[in-house]
Amino acid sequence: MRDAVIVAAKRTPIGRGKKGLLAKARPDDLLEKAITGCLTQAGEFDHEQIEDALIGCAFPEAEQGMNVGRLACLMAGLPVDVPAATINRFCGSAMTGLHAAAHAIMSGAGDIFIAGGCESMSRVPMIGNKFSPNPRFIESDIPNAYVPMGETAEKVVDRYDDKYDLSREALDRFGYNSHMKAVKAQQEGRFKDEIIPLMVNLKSGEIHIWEEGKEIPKDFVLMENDECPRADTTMEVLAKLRPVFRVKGRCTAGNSSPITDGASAMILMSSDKAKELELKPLARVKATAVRALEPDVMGLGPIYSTRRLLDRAGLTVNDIDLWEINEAFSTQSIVSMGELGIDPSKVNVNGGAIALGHPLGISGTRILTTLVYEMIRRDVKLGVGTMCIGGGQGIATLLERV
Amino acid sequence: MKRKIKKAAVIGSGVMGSGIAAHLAGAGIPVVMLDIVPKDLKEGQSRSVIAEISKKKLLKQKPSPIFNKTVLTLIETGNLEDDLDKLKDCDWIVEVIVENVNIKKMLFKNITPYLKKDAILTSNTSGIPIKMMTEDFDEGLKKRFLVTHFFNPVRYMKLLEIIPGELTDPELIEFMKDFGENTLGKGVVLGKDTPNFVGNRVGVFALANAMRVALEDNLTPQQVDSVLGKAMSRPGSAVFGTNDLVGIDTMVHVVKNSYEALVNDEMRETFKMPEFIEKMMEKGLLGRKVKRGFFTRDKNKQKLQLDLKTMEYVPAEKPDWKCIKKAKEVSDAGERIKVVIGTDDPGGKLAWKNTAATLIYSLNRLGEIADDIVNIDNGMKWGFNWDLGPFEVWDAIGVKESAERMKADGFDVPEKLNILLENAETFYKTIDGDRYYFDFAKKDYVKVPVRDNVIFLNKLKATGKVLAENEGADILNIGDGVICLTVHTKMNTVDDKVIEMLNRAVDMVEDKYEALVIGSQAQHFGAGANIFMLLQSAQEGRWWEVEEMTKAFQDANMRLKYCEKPVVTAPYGLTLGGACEITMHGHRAVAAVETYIGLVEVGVGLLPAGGGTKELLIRTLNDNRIAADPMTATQKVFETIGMAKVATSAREAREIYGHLRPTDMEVMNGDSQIYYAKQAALSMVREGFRPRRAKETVKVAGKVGYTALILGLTNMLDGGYISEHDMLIGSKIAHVLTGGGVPEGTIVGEDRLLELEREAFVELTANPKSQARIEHMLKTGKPLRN
Repeated sequence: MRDAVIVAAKRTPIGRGKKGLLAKARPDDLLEKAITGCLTQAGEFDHEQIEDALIGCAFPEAEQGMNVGRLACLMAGLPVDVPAATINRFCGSAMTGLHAAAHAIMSGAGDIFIAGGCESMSRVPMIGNKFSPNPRFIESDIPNAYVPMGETAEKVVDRYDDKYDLSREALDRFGYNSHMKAVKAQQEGRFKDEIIPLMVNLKSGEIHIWEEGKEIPKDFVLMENDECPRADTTMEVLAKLRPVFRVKGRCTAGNSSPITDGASAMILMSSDKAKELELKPLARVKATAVRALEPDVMGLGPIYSTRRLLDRAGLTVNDIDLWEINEAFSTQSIVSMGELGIDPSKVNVNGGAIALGHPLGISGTRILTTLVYEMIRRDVKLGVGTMCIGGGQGIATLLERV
Repeated sequence: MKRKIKKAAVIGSGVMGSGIAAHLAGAGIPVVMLDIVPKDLKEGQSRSVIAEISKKKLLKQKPSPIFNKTVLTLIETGNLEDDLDKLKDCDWIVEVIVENVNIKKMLFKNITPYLKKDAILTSNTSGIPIKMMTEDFDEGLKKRFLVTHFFNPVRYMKLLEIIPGELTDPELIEFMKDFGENTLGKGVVLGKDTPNFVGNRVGVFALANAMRVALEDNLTPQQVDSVLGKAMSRPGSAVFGTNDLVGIDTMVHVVKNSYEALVNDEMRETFKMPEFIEKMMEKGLLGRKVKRGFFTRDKNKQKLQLDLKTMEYVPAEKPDWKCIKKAKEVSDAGERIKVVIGTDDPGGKLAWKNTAATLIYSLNRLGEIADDIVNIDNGMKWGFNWDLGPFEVWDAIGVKESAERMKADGFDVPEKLNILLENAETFYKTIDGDRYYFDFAKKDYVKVPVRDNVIFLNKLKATGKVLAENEGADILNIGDGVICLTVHTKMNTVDDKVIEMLNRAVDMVEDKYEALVIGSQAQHFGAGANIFMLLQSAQEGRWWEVEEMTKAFQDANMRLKYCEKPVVTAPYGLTLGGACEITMHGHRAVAAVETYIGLVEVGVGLLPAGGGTKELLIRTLNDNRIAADPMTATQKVFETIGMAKVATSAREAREIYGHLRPTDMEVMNGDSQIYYAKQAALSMVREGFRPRRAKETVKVAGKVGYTALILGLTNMLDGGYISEHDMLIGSKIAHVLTGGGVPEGTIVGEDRLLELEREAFVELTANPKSQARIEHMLKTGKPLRN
């Protein structure tokens, strides 16, 4: 079996949904910038060799419909004969695209792939533009896969309140820490390697990649950083927020991931191809796994997918040097870490989705991008990115520095 | 050239200024609102920040000063240093700045160069003499200057006092009166340039006098307010509560001014500040705005009152007085007052002393503050929310008897009263439905002027224009071939008698008239259906009766919709449940802008089943208010009905909810509503009204839509936002709105939707929890959440 390696990983800054800098930006434009960023990072090679682009999107409709992957590849100037697909596994979409790309490389079904994702939660609402559920779900006892995400986060509390400290304060503390880590990482420039700075026209939503030293045209603003981390938040401020999903719930806007916009992309190659093109791999995709569970506690997905991943790789939790666990909610993050027995100091060291945002379909490659650069920075060998998925699933990827 | 106000300016953006701007914008007039540049302007801050913040605040104030947030687009903000240019195309500039004559004079001097040659300049001062303000004006400007004194809150208080100066152009006075009444919907009182003008002069006297009596007779604030509120046909906030509402500091300002300015007033001593008010000022007990005034609430939300001697808060115990109990049994405002002042207990005595003093004071002001009693009465009714003005009160309690009692009790009865009693017995009288007032100069009755765009239904009733009547409603001939169905049940609720008359009205108009107006002139167009009768049938298990009643109401509403002649509805005030359904089934609505319309059946555990659920869906979908798929529209209608949303103005009903059509008309002045409804009906006749004959159909969201709504409800139930019973009611509404289990996109007819409404209604009425909701509403007037 061949090795699949990541040779480029880039993403746009993540904008605050609805009122942030990217609220008017089109997700296909964002994706195009992420792909262009990766191609630039990889340097010159014959793009016709790209076998396929596998793009994740949680709600692939409207501006991110019509096989948005294909549209973005064409806009990025890729040759017409490079194909593309849009892949949907809700929050796990981009990571699923990466898995598919890695599997194809491993099995010899292609040498070069683009993986990634795009999501504008500002432009396409979380249940899509036309929610059309199948009546059979309310007429029988089929597990309710339509259960809203916020409710699943509260159900995790119902189930694990006795076992873990899931008090309002603990949840807020988790969110607070996420912000503080993210702010510190921003200040120290830790996201510089992964973020493509953008120039954004706030009126039209038009965006362009900014290059160091380039003058910002009139009507455009420079966006170099993720918009959501708050340096000024405090536990007192967080304590004042009202529960948003239940009258007496514990989840607030402060301990849940915010609605955001952004795009992310990676280039994967067979290790032979990378060698041929004289590209230095960032990491190898060592193992992948997906697993599903009851929809109403979907946030626990990382537990099952990670267990399967480690079993498959013949490793234990303690073998892993660094973790990215997508912080959809404080509740599911705390319980997932607890059940897996992970040392929290190794998790989301640069902050997580509660601070940075979780533009659903992109988060799979976003967390792996953040992971891989931090693995390089720390010079560690093994890292795992894992996340929960609406409808009751988990997905996980094991990366190895080579 | 005929005057017109196409654009106005408000200078000063405080509570009154922004309130006036909001009301003008609501009336469709673009407004420039200017305020000063803040002295401590921070870097990067807009120089117009004061006006800008005031404009933003309009969105949050309660009760809302705006009809809908869309009116804000008509308010342009600016500051008094950079934006005076914006005044140059304004037809009317109203000054609403601090009550300081020198500052006002300076402002007028600054803005005068920017005014159009024929611009109208007015002040909203509540008491500074015009002579002083206009000292520096040239003659031309004096002609164009007057006082326009609004009351707070501007949108809701009907009174607008217009006070001309000596040189004000008489044509301008007439114009502003007409503008105030017809464009702004206000009740205009013409007053004279005397301290505090009309409303505040008498109103503040009545309040100050009541406080004096309280001290003399050793009464607590709660005791006084229990009597001098609803029991005396005055607003519930009564005396001390009104002080708290207005703010003790504001009250002190007004009362002090009165004392200083009213040197020759025979009752000047009344305006001397009581000691306890001074103490309150010292202690910062400024009323409602700081939550501590004459009244406050303790931690357990128990009402406390200020002990006027010790200045400590003590429990506010309601007095157990006969006069209050008796008052509750009398529905006629004047009769009630008569009963209270005739009761021999401390409350009755207080009521009598305060009434006698106020009536005498009012009569002594005649000629001084206004030329006739009508303006004084209107000032108190519209500016202080009294049900009756002082002279109407006097008539109600008997002029002659009360004069004798006054004399016996040592009051100085004015000489003027003898003039009245020598020539007549009452201040007012009604002849052939027309109202006359006693004119002291002519020593005779003079007709109370009525604008030519007002139709009084009572007058028609008194002059034999009743075509049909029963216990629930009348059908009146309002002329030119138009008939008017007027409901007159308690709170104008719909019952079987009203339904009978709806049918009769349709029969009559189709038989030999041109058009039908449905309207009335009470406090509310209708507070829903008569749920008492419904509850009886339900509790005794007579389902067929519930079914029959519902069907009868649906049929009547459908007859309105499919009437061969134009049907114009005229909603105003509360227009809830059944009244909303009637409104929606007319061909056109001419609504008072102050219409609070909604389908509120969920509050009593039911759903709209007089065609309301059906009609709101059809309207939202077929009138293409939402240019989207059936699901989006259904979701919106579901929320409107499910959350019992009530529009807080006709504007909101038109622009947000859809209880009114975008093309329905709004009338600013409710007095003219029947007139305009009639005109609308006649214009429909002239336009060649074509009756609707083919029943409407609608493309429903079907089972998939139903599932989406149920999933939404389930989520709310899980989150603890709704109860199991809410969920049940919601699911019934969802069932009706989505067409009753049909596939998505099925075309469903009106009759089927009505059938679904009825089925769901009968099922819910049979549910004990819905019955409990109805019972609770009947007992307490409030919805029960079970």
